Amino acid sequence: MDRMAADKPLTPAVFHALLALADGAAHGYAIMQAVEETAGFQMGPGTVYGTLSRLEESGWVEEATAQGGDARRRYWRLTGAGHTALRAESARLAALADLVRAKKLAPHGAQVR
Amino acid sequence: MRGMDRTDGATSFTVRVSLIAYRWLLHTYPRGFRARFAAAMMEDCKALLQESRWILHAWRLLLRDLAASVPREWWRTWSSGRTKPMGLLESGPPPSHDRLPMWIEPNARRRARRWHVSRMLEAWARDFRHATRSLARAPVFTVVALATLALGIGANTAIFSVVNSVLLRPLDYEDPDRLVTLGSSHPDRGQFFPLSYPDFRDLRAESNRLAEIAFTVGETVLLRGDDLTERVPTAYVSDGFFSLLRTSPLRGRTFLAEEEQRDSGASVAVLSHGFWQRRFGGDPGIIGQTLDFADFPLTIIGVMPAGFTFPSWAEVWTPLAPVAGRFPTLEQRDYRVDQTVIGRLKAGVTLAEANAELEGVAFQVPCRVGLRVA
Repeated sequence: MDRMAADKPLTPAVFHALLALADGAAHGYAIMQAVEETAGFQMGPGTVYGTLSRLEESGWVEEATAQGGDARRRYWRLTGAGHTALRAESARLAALADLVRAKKLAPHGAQVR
Repeated sequence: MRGMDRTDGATSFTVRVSLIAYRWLLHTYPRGFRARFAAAMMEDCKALLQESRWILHAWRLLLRDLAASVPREWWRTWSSGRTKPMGLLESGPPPSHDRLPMWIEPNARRRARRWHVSRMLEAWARDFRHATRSLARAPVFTVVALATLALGIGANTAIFSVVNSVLLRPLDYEDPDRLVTLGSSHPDRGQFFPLSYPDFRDLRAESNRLAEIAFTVGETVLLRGDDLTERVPTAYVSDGFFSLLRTSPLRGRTFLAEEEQRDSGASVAVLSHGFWQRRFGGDPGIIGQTLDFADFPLTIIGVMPAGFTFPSWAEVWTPLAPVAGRFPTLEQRDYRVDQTVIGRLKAGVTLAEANAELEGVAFQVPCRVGLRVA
């Protein structure tokens, strides 16, 4: 599979997984829940871990040791490259949002979902 | 983090069964993926199941997720050159043919491939052992799954047997859709009774819609033998029985017209295929031998083919008229036990037309004659 590139648009699964990790390390189930809240769609375990392992291959996330959390769970956090990719995608989306608003297709302050 | 504060203690039965099923489904993922994430996925699945209000909603998500992610992970495994073959890490790498001299390379390649295949088979065997152990650990699930399979397969087989014999496979006789069983129904009761022998005689004389009509009555007869004396279900048949069913014997012949006369003194028998095989071991020289019935020895003149089983219980057929004296009840019009009347409709006559005609046939005993497709 191709490496993910920061200059290409990210798939929704990848973007939302990165977004869920923006606040700090989280485990797979927390990512599933965060995605459901921010994106409005549900991600199953297979999709979450598939995405995470691809992100890891690209060097965007890494496994973190559990600090005080559940030892059975695996925690993940963004790497520097992951932050960069997330920021690049966010900027792209923000520009897109500006464009959409300039065309009066969406009001300011619209909900994500 | 909502799922974290749940305790493991109160896990409901459905959740436990679901988790066992999910653990099984995880085997559809490539080995490497499973080895790394299966434990975490089980944890997530458990949290998901416990938190969802309807277990079916959770399952809808899980199944959709499996359907989407399993092919993706396999594709990643296959298309990625960096993925190591199964089992590689457990017992060392295959012989590297990079370092081997050129001239032995083909063999080394073959060896390496054979090594991969044997590793793969081992992996399958390991998966199989793991599966049996998992099943043994979860006896309730195993029993439920096996019972479901058994009932499902059993029900399918049973229904297919019926559909096959009733709908798909026609009767083993010529023009089976013209064959009918005749019976009578009492005006008050509406049941379907057999006809008596006098009924049969009257019908044969009066009906214009039936091309042929035949009567049979059964009895078990004591057959003497050197090592085995047994009771043989025997069908006494009226003349025209075999020609009505349009079946030729496998060996020998069926009854001649003169053998079916009351005073012919003939004593002949036709055997069923099953009886010929069972009692006589399929003896090719069976024709002409004596069937040693205790009261009236018969000469065997024919054997019917395997598909001919009418009446279903019959092992031996013999003409009714010469032995009619054995049945004192035969001439009673209201005696309707163990007797069957069959008929063959004339070409172009429908069942409804024949029934309409039979309505008009008057009997001394109040009854209404009806037809039923055999």
